[in-house]
Amino acid sequence: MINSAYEPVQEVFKEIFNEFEDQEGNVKVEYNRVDFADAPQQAAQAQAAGEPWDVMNLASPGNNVTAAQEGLLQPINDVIDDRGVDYWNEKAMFQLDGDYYFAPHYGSVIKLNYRVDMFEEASAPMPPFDNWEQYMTAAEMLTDTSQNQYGHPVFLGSNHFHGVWPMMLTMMNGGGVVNPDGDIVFDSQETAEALQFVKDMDQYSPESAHNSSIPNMRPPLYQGQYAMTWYSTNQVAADIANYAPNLQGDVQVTHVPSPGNNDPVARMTGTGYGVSSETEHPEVAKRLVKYITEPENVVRMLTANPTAKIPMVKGVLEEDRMWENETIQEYEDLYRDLVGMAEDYGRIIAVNENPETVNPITGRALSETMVVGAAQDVVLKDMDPMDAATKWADRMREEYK
Amino acid sequence: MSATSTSALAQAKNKVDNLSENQIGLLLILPLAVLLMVLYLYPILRGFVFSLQEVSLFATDPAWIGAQQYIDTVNSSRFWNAFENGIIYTVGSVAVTVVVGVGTAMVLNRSFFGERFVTGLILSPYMIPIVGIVLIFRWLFNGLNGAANYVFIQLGFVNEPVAWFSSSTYAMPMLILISGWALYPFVCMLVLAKLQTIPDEYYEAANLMGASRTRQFVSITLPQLKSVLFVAILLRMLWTFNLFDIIWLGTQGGPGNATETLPIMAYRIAFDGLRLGEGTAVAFLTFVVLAIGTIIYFRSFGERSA
Repeated sequence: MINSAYEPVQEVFKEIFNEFEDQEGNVKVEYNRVDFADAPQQAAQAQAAGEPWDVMNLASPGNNVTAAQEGLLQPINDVIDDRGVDYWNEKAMFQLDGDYYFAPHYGSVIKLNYRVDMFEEASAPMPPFDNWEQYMTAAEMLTDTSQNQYGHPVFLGSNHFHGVWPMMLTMMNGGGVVNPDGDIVFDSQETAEALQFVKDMDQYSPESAHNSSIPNMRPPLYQGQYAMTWYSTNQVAADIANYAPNLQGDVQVTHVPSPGNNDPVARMTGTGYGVSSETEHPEVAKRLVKYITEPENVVRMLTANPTAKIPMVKGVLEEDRMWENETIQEYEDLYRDLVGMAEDYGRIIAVNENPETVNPITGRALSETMVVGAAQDVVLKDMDPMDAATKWADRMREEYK
Repeated sequence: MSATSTSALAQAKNKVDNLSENQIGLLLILPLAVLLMVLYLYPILRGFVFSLQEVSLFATDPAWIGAQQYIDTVNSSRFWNAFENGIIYTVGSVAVTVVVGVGTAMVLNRSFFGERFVTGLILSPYMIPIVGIVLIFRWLFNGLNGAANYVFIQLGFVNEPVAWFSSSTYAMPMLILISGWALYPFVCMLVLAKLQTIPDEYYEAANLMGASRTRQFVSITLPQLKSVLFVAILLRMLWTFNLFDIIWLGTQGGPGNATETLPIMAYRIAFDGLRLGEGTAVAFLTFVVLAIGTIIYFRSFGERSA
């Protein structure tokens, strides 16, 4: 089995595998935890060498779907049918050519973290925001460069993750990378407006945020230098416990706002586990997938790093064991907000930009930094937003023809 | 032992005895040659084949496209931007390591109290893991709350915190500074070893003739250091142009692609973009650039430094 689980959850996986081995009798589960960037190669190489990982979760929805499209995975319709498709969060479920390839267990959702105390001190309008104007107003009121304090950071790092925010803004504004027919539509007025918004927000961002690494996106929030910041995995509970115990209750989460005329979009992960197309043990592999996605095991994973991830299996919040965890009790409101956000606005945009239509292009445009490239051109090179959108749309057409 | 096996052994011994010295030499290096072929040549050839194919990191169903990826890469502005960044980074970093390395070696070549301790201290950057060095620099030069910004503001050098690693103006100089600091001990040690072989008589004679210290450095020390500097600069150029870790840990090639060099570009394409073939083509182009650079370097300075 191969996945990219965070450290505290790895131990739970090992426990679960030990139990599965005991239950099966003559099965040994070999577990390999790999980094995000290594996952596709490790899976492909193992398969090419004739020793495939029987069960795989390749770290991101894009990687997972590409693996299925490249023939590394086999359909697991029987697993899904056995449980019933309603067993899982419907937003995490999708089919490729009529087949299910993944059994979700948990995921993450992009949200805005904000400091209630800083908003109160600045008398700024409190989130959630109804539109971009409110968001901008709050960011302006919260910015005080003489105090080294900024409303909201504009991250422009050259990696897939930093492209997610401009991508979400574009989609909330009615734009996108591809339309349901698969045509590239990134060079739209909607994209240009979203890019202009990113540029406008940059007035209330420190320049140091532009090239911030992913782990460094959160600490300035706790240090009082950002009043808001965005992130995927919800580390608020762990961060506060480890670095800023005095901030308990002062950090809350909400959705990244839409311009007002459309619903918000919250990028979600959680496509889950698939079974190798060349496994010699398909039945055992499928039983393992089912075991991993049993509610009580999902609860164990979720409580290993409390409030970090959200369930992709329904009914998990009703499990008593979930609420036996002290941290989840303490952060119950925040956690329910997070789950609600995923239910209301969550979307696996890397492969499912247009609902019901799985496409490999949006994920590639994100991972090949084309979306953040447009934002970089507008903010760092002062390019006209429409020119930047056109430049990158042309690149996408060239690359993905 | 049977008579048959004794006879076979004798025959084999005769065959070996009849081999020429060259043949025996070839026989002896054969195991190593095979090992090298498997461990070294095969991956290179395999990589070259990848560079001629459109192949994703999932490595399934590669499509043969010949030199197209090389042509596309060379025609892209991204390649030339990365090439230019690589040249700036290499020249800057090598200059810092050579100037600081030679200067430090000159100081260490004198006898003074605590010489051994200071030598150990000066070597220490070479012993600290690169990840630690970059993290310390990032912490010191943090754009929001780094100690460097605090000191510079207190001293009145700047009015507000500078985004050292996020500004296209300062990111590259910061990387050059880190590389120079981390890697100068290599040059320092090579130069120090050479300095200690220069006979004192040269300097005594120069003193008698009234030559100034500067004159002694230019006319005695530098000519003596030519050969070692030639090697040190060549090795540092090759290593620095190919350096990945300091740039990746420091800026990941950003902001935008302001510090993206060819190795970073190859990595991003192969691992972020999942395009193994194209990433490998960039890696091979890097090899070509370095090979051409090395030839030019040898032709320009090779004979003079012999």
